[in-house]
Amino acid sequence: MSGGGELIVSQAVDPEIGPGQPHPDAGARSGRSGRRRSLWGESFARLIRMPAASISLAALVFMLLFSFVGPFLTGYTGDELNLPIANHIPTMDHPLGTDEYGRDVLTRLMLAGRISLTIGIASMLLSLLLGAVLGIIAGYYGGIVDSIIMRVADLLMSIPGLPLLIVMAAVLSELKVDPSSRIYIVMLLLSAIGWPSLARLIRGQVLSLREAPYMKAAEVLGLSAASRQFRHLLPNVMPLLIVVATLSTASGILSESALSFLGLGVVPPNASWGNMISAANNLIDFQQHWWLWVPPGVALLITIAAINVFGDRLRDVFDPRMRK
Amino acid sequence: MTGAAAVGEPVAQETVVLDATDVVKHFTSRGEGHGAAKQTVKAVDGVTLRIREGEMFGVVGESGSGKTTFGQSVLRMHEPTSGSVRFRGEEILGLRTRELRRLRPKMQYIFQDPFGALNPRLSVAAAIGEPMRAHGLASRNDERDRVAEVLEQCGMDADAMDRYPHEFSGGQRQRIVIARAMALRPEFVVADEPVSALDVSVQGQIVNLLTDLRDQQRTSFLFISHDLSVVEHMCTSVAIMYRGRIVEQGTRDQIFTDARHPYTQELLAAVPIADPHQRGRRRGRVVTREWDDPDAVRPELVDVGDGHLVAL
Amino acid sequence: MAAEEALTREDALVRVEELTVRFPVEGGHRTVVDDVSFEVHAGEVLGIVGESGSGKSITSLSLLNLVDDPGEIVSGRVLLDGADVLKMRGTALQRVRGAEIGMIFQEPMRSLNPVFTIGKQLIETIRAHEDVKPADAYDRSVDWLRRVGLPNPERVMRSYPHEMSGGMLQRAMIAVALCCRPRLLIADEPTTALDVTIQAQIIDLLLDLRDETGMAMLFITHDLGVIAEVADSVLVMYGGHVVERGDVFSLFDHPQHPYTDALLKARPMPGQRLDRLPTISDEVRRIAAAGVTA
Repeated sequence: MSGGGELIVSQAVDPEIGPGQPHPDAGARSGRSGRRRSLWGESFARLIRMPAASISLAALVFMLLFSFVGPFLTGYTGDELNLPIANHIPTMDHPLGTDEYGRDVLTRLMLAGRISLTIGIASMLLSLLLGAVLGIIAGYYGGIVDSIIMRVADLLMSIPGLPLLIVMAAVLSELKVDPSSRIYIVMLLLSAIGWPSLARLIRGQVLSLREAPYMKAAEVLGLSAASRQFRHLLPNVMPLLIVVATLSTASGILSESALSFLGLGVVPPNASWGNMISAANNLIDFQQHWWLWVPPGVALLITIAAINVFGDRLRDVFDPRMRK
Repeated sequence: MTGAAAVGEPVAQETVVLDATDVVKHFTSRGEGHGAAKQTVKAVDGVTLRIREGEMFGVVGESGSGKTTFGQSVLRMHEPTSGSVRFRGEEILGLRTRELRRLRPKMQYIFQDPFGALNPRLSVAAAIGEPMRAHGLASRNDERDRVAEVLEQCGMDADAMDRYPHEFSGGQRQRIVIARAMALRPEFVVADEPVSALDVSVQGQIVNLLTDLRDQQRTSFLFISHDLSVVEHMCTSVAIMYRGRIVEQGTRDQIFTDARHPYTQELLAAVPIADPHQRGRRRGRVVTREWDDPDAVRPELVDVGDGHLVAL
Repeated sequence: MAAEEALTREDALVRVEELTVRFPVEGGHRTVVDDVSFEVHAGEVLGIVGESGSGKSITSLSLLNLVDDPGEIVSGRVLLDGADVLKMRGTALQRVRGAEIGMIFQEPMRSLNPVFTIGKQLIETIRAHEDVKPADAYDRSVDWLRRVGLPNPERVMRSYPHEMSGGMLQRAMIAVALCCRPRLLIADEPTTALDVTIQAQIIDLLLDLRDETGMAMLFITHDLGVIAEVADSVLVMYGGHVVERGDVFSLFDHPQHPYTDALLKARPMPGQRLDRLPTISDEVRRIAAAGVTA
């Protein structure tokens, strides 16, 4: 057993076990035994096992279905005027009652959800795209490119978001833009406000990852700059991107709601959760017709809370595990 | 003064794989606060050595000696401030990016930290296969076979291919790092403390692996380490670095049996001896380093016989 | 047998009995420390040697009941003066940590608080355990810094961890660990991250302090060379249990267990120029993992 020079080139048995790593029995030579799973698959599996994550995910799925599929199931279009039963308290026919024009509130709530969610997600995607591309370029190349991008971002960030949005929206009202196009314009405005903080976060991540030994390795191995940025760096930025994207969706939805509440975002006859809540501005509606403004508030609450909880759990899943 | 004589007999130019002359690397940083002077760190302050084909050349030093910076400068991972580095006679310091990339497969680097050197989001197959494809050593069809081949050569099972770095232990990861470098069939490899992050008991495996690869492929190694026992075992020529310069250089025998410079002697005396009967040998010694005067001009290397160079 | 037990019970400063620690993993638990027992006597240096993952660090953390979630100490006792540390809470436990048992770690940069000066951390530690005036605490701190070989101790008092080198920080950490005069110092790989010349100095320092204060030491490392320099008795661990134990001379001269033997041979000795370095075979690891104790 103890002769000098036992040649073991082919057995890589290292008992470097920490908690969570498999104990290498003699003979286990290539890491954890078991099914191969992609990195994303593993993360997802771990995520689902967390109760907070699965509950919030379920809530989100529910809200999505509610908003996009629901309207087909209620039997109303949400536009039908029915003045005789205007402002009617909830009944079997109208589970959430009717509004000032006799329209079914439940259906309008669902349609409003469509708009609010679409705006939130779309503006998130836009600002993510803008923020990610600019952030990676700024972080990777540094120098004057970085300075320019960051100064523009700083400029936009130093202007308070909501007042800026309000001003821009008010200008749009003056220009008498038609209500349907307003939705798209609101989306664009939100993205323009949203991308700087994303870009900053991503740039920071890129700056620190850029110096990692494995990035230097990629350079020594003679890989091209494009490959280094997109095959090597980007996948490591993705976890942060995903978490940030999730959380900024919530912010987008809230911003839209605030704008619409003020009458500057989505305007009637289109419904959004924000402008439905503005019923609370009217004293009579506030005191006597609670079904007009409480449901959209609850819908917003559930959606935002679910997004935030899910985003938090996503962060947990990605951060400590991937670090090692 | 040059290292050519350091290895004994006159060296035919064609068997010298790496020829570094007076390599200097300074790092300047803007001073802290207003008006403070720029600070220059002379990480590498004029290092000259030559490595022949199939040779294992050891560079020993502690933190701050500049050995890692030197190893990285030689591969242009840092751009040297001045000096010359020739690979098989070709000067590489002036090369443009495209030409340098052509040379990359021939000159590789093994990292000290096996945990940081592998991209956590790339599978082992991708990490090893992509560079092979990029340099034409494998095609899309045979990439997996080639990767399997190289893994087995480095003592890993082929089914490690589809796994990710975090599933492996430090020693296994180091094998993957070595496999990734050796897959390109380099002629010259800078191994920067390849075993320092590993348990002593596992170091032997990696050391043996490197020796085997050297024997099989006639690769030359610049073996950077702070561990004299490993260096003594593996390297035929050794240079000792202290604060950016070589203070002693020679063959293994010259350094280990006839160390002249006080720093070399200090290093040798500091190595723990695995024999309790010999303990207490050095208890109570105080280290003074009077020879290290930060203000004085540092002495040049002098040949004390047979190419044994000492800076005194 | 009873008489022998009585004797050892009196001598032992710390007695660990049947310590078992486990961590949850996917699909169950992994036992990281498996039924480990040993003693440390006053003034003695007990070396625990093992590879990464052998459980040596967790064992040492258990002595101070520092094993964090999700790990749990499933069974066993850690007896200090007859009282079980694992059952202590609150002030009693706090007293043990620092005043009775001190600990230093591998990475001094990570164990000292980066936002406090060295002086503040020292003074805080002293005053946490003893009722002394700030001025006295300051003097004692300076004194300890001098004792651990730091030049210009007053300056060090005002310095932050990031301003100091690895070796200096490790000395400072030793000062913090010893300033309340614990009877036992646990040193978990204290020199592994340091340059070899600094390592030698730190080892010398620890041995000198042991001679001066009579404290016991639990020295954990994966390097047998360091064990040979430092330890009086040795425990060899693998896979969570003790594979061999004995006094340092017997262990090195006549290792009983094949794993110990392989571990000894794995280290290149100065002057040895082998063709290949010996490695530890699967066979030996299997035997060690099976828990056969020599």
